[in-house]
Amino acid sequence: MATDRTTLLERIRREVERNRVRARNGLRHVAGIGRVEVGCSPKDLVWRRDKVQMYRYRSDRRTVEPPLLLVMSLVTKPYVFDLRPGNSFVEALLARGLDVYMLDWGTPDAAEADNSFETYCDEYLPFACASVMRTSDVDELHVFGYCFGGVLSLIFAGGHPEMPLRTLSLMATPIDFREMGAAAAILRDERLLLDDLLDETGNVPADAVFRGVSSARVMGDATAYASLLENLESSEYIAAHQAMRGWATDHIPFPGACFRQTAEWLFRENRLAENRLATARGPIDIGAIDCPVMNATGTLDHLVPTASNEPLLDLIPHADDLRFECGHVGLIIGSRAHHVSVPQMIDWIIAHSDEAAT
Amino acid sequence: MNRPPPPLWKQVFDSVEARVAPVIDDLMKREDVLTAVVLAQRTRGEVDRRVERTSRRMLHLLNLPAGSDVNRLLAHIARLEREIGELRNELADRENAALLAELSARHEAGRSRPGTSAEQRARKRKGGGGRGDRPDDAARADPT
Repeated sequence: MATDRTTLLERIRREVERNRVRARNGLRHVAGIGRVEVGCSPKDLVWRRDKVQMYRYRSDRRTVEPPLLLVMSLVTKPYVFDLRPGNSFVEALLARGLDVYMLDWGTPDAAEADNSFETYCDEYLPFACASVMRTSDVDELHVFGYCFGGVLSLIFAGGHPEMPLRTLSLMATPIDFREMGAAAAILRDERLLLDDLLDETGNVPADAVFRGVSSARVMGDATAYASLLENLESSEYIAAHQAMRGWATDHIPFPGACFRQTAEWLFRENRLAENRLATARGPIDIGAIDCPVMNATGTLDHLVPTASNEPLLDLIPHADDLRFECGHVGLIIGSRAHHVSVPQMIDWIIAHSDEAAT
Repeated sequence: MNRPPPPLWKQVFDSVEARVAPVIDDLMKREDVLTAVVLAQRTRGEVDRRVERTSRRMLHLLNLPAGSDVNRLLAHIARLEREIGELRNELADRENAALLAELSARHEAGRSRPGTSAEQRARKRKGGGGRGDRPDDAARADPT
C-alpha cells in the first residue's frame, strides 16, 4: 500500500516536472528566446559579383579533389546546407575531406529584377566555377545543385560544354514542371497574368513565394506544430524545429525576369523535360552532358514529387539514380539523412574524385 | 529502445490529418478552385491598379509624388546600380574572364578532335595531367 502511494507520488512528481519543462520551453519558443544559430561552419568570402557571394569553408583536411560547389535555389537561403552543428551537410562533406564552396545568390531587389536564366547560368555560374578553380588551383570541379539550384546547374552544364565539370549532382530537382502540384497548376494557367505576381521592385515577393511553396502541402504547418507540441520537453527537438521552420519560412524574392522565364518556359511549355530549352547564348542540350551525373530524390517529397524528376533519366541515361525514403529537406537534414542519404551521396562524389595532391 | 506511443491527442490529430490532408491537397488541384484562385489574383491586381491610379491623380493634383513616381525612381536607381555593377565586375573578374575565354577556346579546338570532353579529361587524369596544366597557370608562373 505504502509502495503504491510512493509510486503514485513519484509519477505525479515526474508528470508535474515534465509539464513544467514543457511550459517553460513553450514560453521560450513563443517569446523567441534562445533562437538557434544556423550556418555556423567557419567560411571565407572568396568571390562576389553584384549581390552574389561565394564562400569557401575552412578545413584543415582537404584530402579530396576536385572541389565541390554547392548551388542553392533562387527562392530559399543556402544555409540549409549547413543548418546546425551536428546536422549539417557541409560538416559531413568537410569530414570526408572535400573542399567545399557555397554560392549565396543574395536577396534580390529592384537591381536584380532583370536577372534571367542567362544571368545565372551564363554569367554567375561560369564565373563562380572559374573562381573555384583558380582559388583551389585545380582544373575541374564538382557542381551540386539543390532543388531549383539543380535546374540552374543543369541548364548551366547543358549550355556550357566547355566547363570542366568532374561531376554534376542534382538533388530534389524538378524536370517536368507539370507534375509540380497546385502551384504548377496555377502558373500553368495562362489566364493568370504573371505581372500581377510582381511587386514594385519587379520581383515576386518573398511571401508570395512562401504561399506558392506551402500550397504543395496545405497541412504541413499544422503537422509540424503538432509534432512540436508533442515534443515540447525536448530542447533538442525545439532547436531542430526552430532551425528547420526558420529556414522553411525564410524565403527570398524571385527575380522577375527569371520568374517569367520559369513560368513560360518550364511550367507552361515544359521545355526542360522536352529538352528544347534555349537561352540567349544558344540551345541547351541536356542530353549532351557527358560528365557523371547523380540524381538524388526523396520518394516522400511533396514539393518536387518523383514524377516531376523522372524525365531526367530519359534525358541523361547515364545518370546514377539515388532514391531515398524521405522528403524534400530530409535528403540532407535529420537523422535519416545523417545515416543514409548524406553518406551515400558523399560516397558517390568521393568515388568520382581523386586524392588531393599534397 | 522503443519509443513510447504518442499521446492520445496526437493519435487523434494524426488520424484526422491522414484523412484530411489528401482531400485538401486534391481540392487544391481542382479546376474550380484554381479558377477561383486565378480570379482572386486578377481581381486583386485590378483593384490595386485602380487604387494606384486614383491615388496618383489625387496626389499629383496636390503636386505631391505618388508611389508610382517613387517606383520609377527606384527602377532608375536600379538601372544605374546595374551599370556600375557591370563596370565593377569587368574590372574585378578579369582573371576569371580570362580563364573562361581560355576554356572556351580549348573546347572549340577540341571539338574537331574525336572523343567527348569528359572522356578527354578522364584520359588526361589517367595520364597524369591536370593540376598545373591550365594555360593561365603557366602564364602566372611566367613573370614576363
